[in-house]
Amino acid sequence: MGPLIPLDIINPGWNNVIALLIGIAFGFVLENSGFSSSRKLAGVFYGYDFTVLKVFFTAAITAALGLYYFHFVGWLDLSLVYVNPAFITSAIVGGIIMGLGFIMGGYCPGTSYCGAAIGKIDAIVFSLAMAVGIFVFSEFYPLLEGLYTANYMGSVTVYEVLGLPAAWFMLILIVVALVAFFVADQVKKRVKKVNY
Amino acid sequence: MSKTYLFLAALLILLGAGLIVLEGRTDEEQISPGAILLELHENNRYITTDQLAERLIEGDPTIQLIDVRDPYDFMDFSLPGAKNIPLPDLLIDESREILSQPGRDFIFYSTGDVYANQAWMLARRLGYKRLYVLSDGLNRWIETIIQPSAPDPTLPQEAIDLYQFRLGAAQYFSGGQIDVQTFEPQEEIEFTRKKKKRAAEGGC
Repeated sequence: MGPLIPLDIINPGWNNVIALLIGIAFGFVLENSGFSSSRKLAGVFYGYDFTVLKVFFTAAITAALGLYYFHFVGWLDLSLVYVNPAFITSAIVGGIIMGLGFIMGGYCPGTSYCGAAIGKIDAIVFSLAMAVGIFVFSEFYPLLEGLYTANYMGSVTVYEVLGLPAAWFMLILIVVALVAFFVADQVKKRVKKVNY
Repeated sequence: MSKTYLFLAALLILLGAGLIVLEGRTDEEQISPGAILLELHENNRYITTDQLAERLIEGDPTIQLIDVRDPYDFMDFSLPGAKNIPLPDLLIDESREILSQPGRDFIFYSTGDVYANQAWMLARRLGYKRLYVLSDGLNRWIETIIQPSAPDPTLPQEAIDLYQFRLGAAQYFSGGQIDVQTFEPQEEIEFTRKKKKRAAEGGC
């Protein structure tokens, strides 16, 4: 049956409309769960709030489980699901830059728009700075292209690279997530409470 | 740690383990041999050459003809719009793509209908729906649609109408000009009553 758009059950022209609706819903949920607060977001680095880790890790494993069960029930053809192409070097460099920006600014790209939407000045500055960053990157792209496209691996999944069956990888990921949640809770107990 | 957290954690692990159990399973829907046997005995999978010709002429978009003969025969002659899936290729991915188009009637045909029936049975076993077999295959198609034989003029009107339709269809499918002989139905014989001879009048 699915995925709905590649199989033409929904016309590809609806792509942007659906993206907009999902975006609105996503933004609403982010704001509603307090992700427009930079203190809450930065808490994951200082050890007083692990909501970000828990929410996103839970979302990832829930979605992955859902995809696989849909596949087994026959509602979704997993071979047609888009897999992001992997560029290892730029993923590592980008990850470091993104992490630094996250600690310094207190936002990640999506949540900065959330914060900007409710009028937080730091979030507005963060969003504008992000736009500047994008502009600078685009202007310097010819220089950075070699780095950007280095170590291209194609559209691969982690379990393919590791050579594990997908199901085993899922189970391991779930266990890792649960252990991470447990450890996060232990850390949170030892760190001084911060009121924000 | 609250009970809810423990429950949710256990649920996640259980679902993950469930994936491992499911991994080896194929996701092909198969119907049981008993059900196929039943369907095999109901002959409603057959479609006649006349029904097929009519639907093709009307431009019915739901039709998907599937030629199960080998590619050489298919290149030689095939029905309009047919796709070639030789019987040994029935299980490859491309064939599955053709057979899983939604909203279409799949009509298998071969020279006779033995191979078409085999393809029907295999495809049915794989869980595909709306499958049909062209009754007596291309042999019957040639006999009835391409080179129809004239019916005995004494047959009822329906047979003559069918023949007219087949002549038209022959022209449609072969493109050639064909002498269309019209068969006028025999004129009704009027019965005229003989006039009675005048009754003898009185006299003498």
